[in-house]
Amino acid sequence: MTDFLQTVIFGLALGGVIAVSAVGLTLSYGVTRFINFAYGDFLTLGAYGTVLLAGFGLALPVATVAAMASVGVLGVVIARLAYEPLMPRGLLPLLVTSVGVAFVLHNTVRIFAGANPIRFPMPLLRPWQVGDLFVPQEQVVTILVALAAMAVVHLILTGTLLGKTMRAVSDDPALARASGVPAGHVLAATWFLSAGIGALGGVLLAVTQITVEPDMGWRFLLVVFAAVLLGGIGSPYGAMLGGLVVGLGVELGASYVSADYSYAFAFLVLIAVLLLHPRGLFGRGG
Amino acid sequence: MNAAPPLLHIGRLDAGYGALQILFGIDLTVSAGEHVLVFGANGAGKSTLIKTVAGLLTPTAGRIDFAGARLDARPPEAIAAAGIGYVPQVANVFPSLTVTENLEIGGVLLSARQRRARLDDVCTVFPRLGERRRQTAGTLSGGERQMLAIARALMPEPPLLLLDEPSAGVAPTVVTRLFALVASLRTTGTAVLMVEQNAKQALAHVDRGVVLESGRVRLTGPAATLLDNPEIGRLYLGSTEAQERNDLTPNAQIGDRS
Repeated sequence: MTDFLQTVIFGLALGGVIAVSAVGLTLSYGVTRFINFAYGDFLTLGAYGTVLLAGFGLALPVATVAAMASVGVLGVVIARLAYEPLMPRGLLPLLVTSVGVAFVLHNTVRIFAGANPIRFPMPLLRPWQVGDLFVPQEQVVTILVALAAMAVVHLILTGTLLGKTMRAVSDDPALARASGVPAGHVLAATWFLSAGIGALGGVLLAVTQITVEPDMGWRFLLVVFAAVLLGGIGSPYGAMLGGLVVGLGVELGASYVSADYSYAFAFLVLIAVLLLHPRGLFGRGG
Repeated sequence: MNAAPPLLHIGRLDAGYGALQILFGIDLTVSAGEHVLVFGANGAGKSTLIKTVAGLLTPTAGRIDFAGARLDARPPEAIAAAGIGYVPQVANVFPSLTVTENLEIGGVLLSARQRRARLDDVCTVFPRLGERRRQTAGTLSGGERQMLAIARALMPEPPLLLLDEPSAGVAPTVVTRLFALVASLRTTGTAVLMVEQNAKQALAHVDRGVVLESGRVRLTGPAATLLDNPEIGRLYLGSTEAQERNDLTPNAQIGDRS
């Protein structure tokens, strides 16, 4: 039982990381209908940015927020320069371009920070002990930050006019524009939020794995995709749930079946759900 | 009224989809507060005309002037901001948003205070929507969706409302109420440019009709004159020998698609 609970705690923490990351990706997909393959590198940049800023003496939470904002701005700049001019040409050129952007980004990180893993400057925290159960504080912090991030995303989407316009554009871009929604502003806000949330996902990923390396986000992208698809692509709430399911699936699979194939379990869960419900857990009917 | 320049002036307008030209040299005006119905056979270009005015299609020639400003080739959000409300034929609400949120999107350009005030006004005019404020639009009936779409377009109190087939997908009993509601917009001075298959019923509620045929304006005139024109009646209003014998109204078959 202790083992199981221990695994669940790790699963929830990993699920939180995946959920936050998946929300950022699915938000941009919802508004633009294009899967940004450079998204994984926003995670990497968020983590490295935080390491860099913490190195200048900023407290870790401040460094994280500053890194999120910087990566958010970078997300807007990349989109304006590389994606928006290509949008009238359809999705395939965008997709290929975003793969190119991904390689540019993580190799740029490699040039400046080196290819070797760097320790994330999280203070060493003693795990709490509850009976036989060890509860690492890093995992608890990750879970709490992930929950807070999802609550903030929920508030933005349902409580602000910006969030409502994003959902309206996601539902029907032409109707939104004909209703007076300034599509350009909504798009820019979406790129910013998506990249900024991705940066937070990267920081949380760094907290759980203790190190950062240049292709951490690129490698993690597949798992994030799994969560996005599981929840129903374009649905932020689906992405949150999908992230938790994938995180738990990975940790439970690693504990009880084989640690060598931990990420394979994420995809087994994905395939199982999609066989039963092809549009994902929160996917739109139609 | 004729002395004042028209609110909407469409001049020699060509438009279509890519290489496929649908509209040929359309001339059409709508005066402030005037209700105009565009009707014609399927494929005559009615929806294309409405979409072009709303900015969803870019004209290939001609011009569109609205309240003194040139609007052709402007993006749809600029046309909405200029004061033209648009209600598309189908898919005319944001299905995952609640009724209130749909209305808020309609009032996106208003200040927060104006938006709240208009939301209350609109829910007074559409009490059914007021009862369903928190319901997701995707769960509404066809008639309720149409009401919501019109209410959303009316949020910023536009001087001109474009309606694309408002009776499509709406139960026949609701269609009557819908046309009456559109007619009641005269009290607020809102001009209407409406496209409708259900032309006979719609003509009874408008000031003027425009007959579109193969993308060209074939005829335009006061609604009453068109209703009495036997050829128009035979071709476009479903007047048949059967109807002349007062047997049935063939239009009932058209409106009921719910």
